[in-house]
Formats: sequence, C-alpha cells, structure tokens
Amino acid sequence: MSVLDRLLRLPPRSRPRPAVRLELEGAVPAWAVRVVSGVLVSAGLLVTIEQWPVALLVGLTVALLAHPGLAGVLLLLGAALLAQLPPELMRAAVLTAVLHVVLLSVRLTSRLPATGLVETRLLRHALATALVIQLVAQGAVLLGFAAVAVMPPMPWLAALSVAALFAASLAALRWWRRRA
Amino acid sequence: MILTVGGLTTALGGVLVLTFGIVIGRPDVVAYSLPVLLTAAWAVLRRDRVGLQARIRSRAGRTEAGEVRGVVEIDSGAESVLARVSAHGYRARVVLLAGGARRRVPVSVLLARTGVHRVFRLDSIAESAGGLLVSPPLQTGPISIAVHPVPRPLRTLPLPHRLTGLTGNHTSRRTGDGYEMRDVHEFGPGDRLKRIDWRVSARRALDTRTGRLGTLYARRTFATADATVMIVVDSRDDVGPDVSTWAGGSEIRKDAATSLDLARQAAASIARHHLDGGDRVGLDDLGRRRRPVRPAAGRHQWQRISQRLLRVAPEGWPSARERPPVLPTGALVVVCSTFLDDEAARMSRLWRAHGHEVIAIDTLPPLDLTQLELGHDIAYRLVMLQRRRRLRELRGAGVAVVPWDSGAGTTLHALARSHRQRAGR
Repeated sequence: MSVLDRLLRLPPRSRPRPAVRLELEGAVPAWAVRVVSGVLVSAGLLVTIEQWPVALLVGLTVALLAHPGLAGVLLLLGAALLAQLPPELMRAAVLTAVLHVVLLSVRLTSRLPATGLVETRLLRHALATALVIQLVAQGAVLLGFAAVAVMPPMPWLAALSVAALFAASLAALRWWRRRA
Repeated sequence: MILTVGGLTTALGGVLVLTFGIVIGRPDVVAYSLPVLLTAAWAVLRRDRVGLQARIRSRAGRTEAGEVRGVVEIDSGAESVLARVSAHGYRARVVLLAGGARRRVPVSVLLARTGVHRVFRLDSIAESAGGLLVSPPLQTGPISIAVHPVPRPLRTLPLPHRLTGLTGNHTSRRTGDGYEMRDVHEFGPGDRLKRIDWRVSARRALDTRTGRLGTLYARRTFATADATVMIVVDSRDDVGPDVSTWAGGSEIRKDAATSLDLARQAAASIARHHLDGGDRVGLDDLGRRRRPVRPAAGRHQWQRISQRLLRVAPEGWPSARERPPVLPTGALVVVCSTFLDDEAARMSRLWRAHGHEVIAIDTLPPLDLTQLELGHDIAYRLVMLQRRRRLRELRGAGVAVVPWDSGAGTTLHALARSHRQRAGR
C-alpha cells in the first residue's frame, strides 16, 4: 500500500458507545410515535384535500420535525384552509382529528430524541384523554353544522363569544400567575 | 413552574382561530380550534401537584464488574416527567415517564472496568398542563460506585522457595509437627512418646533371646508452614485495548477491560486463592508511595486487599525508585504490570536477585490496532519491540512471565507443578 493510499484511507468506524439501560414496564420509541402520527396525518390530509404531495410533505414534517411550534403553525394553516373552502362536515371532522394527532405527537415527543422512549403507561393515559377530547370536539363539529342548518344567522352571538373569550383569557392568566 | 413558549404559542393560536371562526361565522373553524383549547382546559382542570424530587441509589451489596445496577427514584405529582439518565462513556437514555406517583426505575450499564466509578446522572423536568408548564431542570448524581474485580478460580499456584512459620497448610522441608511422614529415626531427646513407632522398634530392636527392646524408633514428620505472598500492582499506567487511546486525548471504552482492570483481577484472584489456602498475603503498589498492606491471613485481610485494590489508580507520574520496596524474607513476589517501561521489570529483577521467587503477570489486554493512524503504528511497533526485549531479559533472570489471559490458570498450574518437582515437595 503506497503512502498516498494510506493517507487517503479512512480509519474504520469505531463501535458505538454502549447505552445506559432502563428497565421500564413498557415503552415505545419516540420515532415510532412520530412515524405513526405522520402516517395518520398524511392519510387524513389525503382524504380531505386530495393533493398527495401536500399530504406527504405535511406527514413527513410531522414525522421528522416534532417541534412544539409545529402544532401552532398547522393550526393556523388549517384554519386558513377551512376558511377559504366552503363548509363541509367531513373535511372539518377529519382536519380536527388530524390536528389533534399532531398535538398529541408533539406533546409526547417534542422533547425527546428519535431514540427516546415514551412510557406505555403515559401513552395509554394520553390516548384515553385525547379520545375524550376528540369525541367532544367531533360533537361540537356536528352541533355547529346542525346549528347553521337549522338556526338563522345571529350576529350578536359573535360579539358575545368574543367577550366570553376575553373573560376566559383573563381567568387563564390569573391561573397561570397563581401556578408559576 | 415555567411557561413553555411552544405550548403558549399553540394555546394562543387556538384562541385566535376560535375568535376568527366566530367572527367569520364558520362553525367548522371554531370546532377546528377545540382540540387545542380543550387539551389546555383539561390540563388546567386536572390541577396537578407541581414539584419534583429525584434521587439515585446503587443496589445494595457488593458490585462486581459486569452489569452495574442502580435505581432512579422520581417523586412528582405532575402529569409526566422527562428524564435523561446518563453515565460518562455511555449513550444517554431519554424517557418520558408518567408522573403522579413515586416512580422507581431500575437502571444499569455494562461495565468491564473496575475501581471507583461515577455513574448514573439524572436530569429531569416535570411537565404539567399538557406540556404547557414545566418545572426547572433538576440534576441528580452522578453517584460513586465501587466496582470490584471478579476473582478467577485458580487450581494451584506456585509457592515461595522458603516457607515460614510453624503452622500452615503447606508442608515444609523441616522436621517437626505435621502430617506428612518424613522417616523413622532413633528415638532421641525432644521426640514425643506418642511418636514412637512400636512395630518398627519391635522389628528392628527386639532381642529375641532376652525378650527386651534395645533402641526405640520414632516416626518423624515434615513440619507444616505457611507461605508469604506479596502482590505488587503497577498502577503507573492504565492502557486500554485500543492502542490509539494510549497517547491520551481520546476516551477508553467502558465496556473493555484495561490493563489496570486485568491487574486488579489478577491480584484479587491470586490473593483470594492464597488466603483461602491459609497463606499470608500482602499488597504493594509501584505507583504510589504509601504504606503497603502487610502480609497477613484471614478474611479481614481479603477485605483489606479488596479495598486497596479498588483505589489503585494512576496518579501523575511518580519519580523512579532507587531501591525496590522491602518485602518479607522468603516471600513469593507477584508483579502485575504491562511492562511497557523499565521500572516494573527492573524491580522484578532486583527482587529476584535478592532471592525472592518472582512471577511477572503480564496484564496488557488483547490489543486493537484498527484505529491506529499513519505513523502511530511505527511508534507502536517500537514500543512492543522494547517490551518483548524486556520480557526476554526477565525470563533470562529467572522470573516466570505469565500473560493474564484465559490460559493464565493453566500456565500458573504448570508452573506450580514444576516448582514443586524442583523443590521435591
């Protein structure tokens, strides 16, 4: 072997360092949670917006970039999409579910590396809570569409809702100050 | 508790979308924001107990090289706890645990190294309100764990030329109280009456005409004695199997035994074997100028040697010794070293010249040359050439060199047999 060959030869890769082992009753890798979320999001978007590149891109983003701000961004983008298109029950229901999947994925894996673990007990608990919230949200979707179909438009309801929201925000702020 | 930016952004986004939906009169947009708002509301209603306490404990009892275990205890009333368990030289594990109760998570690492190690550091954060609120990070550990070498079972070991004392498990060449028959000799002053061999006396000294005994004969036995073994560990260097780490700057892997780990194991195995046989064993360290563990027998001596071996570690670069440490007369000297420099070999030769039986245990681990860079292999070959010459000189001086590998027990057994045959024991 010439000197040049020896200079150009890369040293063999060293073995990875051993890992600390945790004995948990059950745990799921963070990457698995992200991949499942990405697949669910892609499938949901494919059904509603019928544009597979967008669905694939959003699904990949959810799977690869579990940042806490991702749910916020998708929330605003989804709201803009819904507002732009005519109201449709199926689309609203699926997008609501998709957003919830992203929320849950970000909540569980945003602070974990891909090799991190989510304890099964926590996952089970989070899924049960999410199921209850999702049922309430889907019920609200149904009720909303039913109300629009049955009742005439009520402009004063908007002003009342904004006032209620303002009061709720104040209450939330007080709560946070008490806790923090 | 600390309000997280990501969580706050999402919650505010939810409020914004809800307001937007109400303003434009779109129930689907309003319903779309509900998962975010309901998740936050649910978390608020849960009223989690904030606060986080954590500690790490090592498992009770003696820890030996192999799987080193500990327990992480986390006490938090929060919804979940983000825990990162790390140890120097290992890949950390990050896990999101369910909170709400005192949790005990067993942790372990595979550690081939011995001595005192600091392992298991825990960094944790309690998360509440769906990740909206987090506690300040809490660092716990690392904890110090003493990892003992696992003594290897050995069959027989060489004994010193000269056995000392009046009691022990070995048979000396002196005449005295013991179990092994030496000869039958004429009864004389100092012989006990119970030692008289009446059959031999009757056969040899009975006068058949008069029916009287002439000279009496007594059985003589070899006296028992104990052996003194002095184990000398060379703690001046601690090299790993990967030769590229010898120059420093890169870390030695924790799952591979270094020369000092092998030295500790060899010393512990030999000390354990001799102490179990009732011999007197002492320990000295070539790298540290401190009082040696004086030769003694018994279980407490094993504890003393075991504790001293734990704390054997390189400490700077000690100045060369002018004279070798003074050892008990007639002791068998076992030197555990890599013999990468002259010091240990010089001491071994001097002890041999003083009349001690010396065994050199070569504790250089099986080497890995794959990571060596250009030029380093030449340096490595020169070092090994010098080492081979050094070991050859040692053998020439009458020092038995035994590599501490899987065949060390057999080599020492063969050496013990040849010593026994030579000594006529």
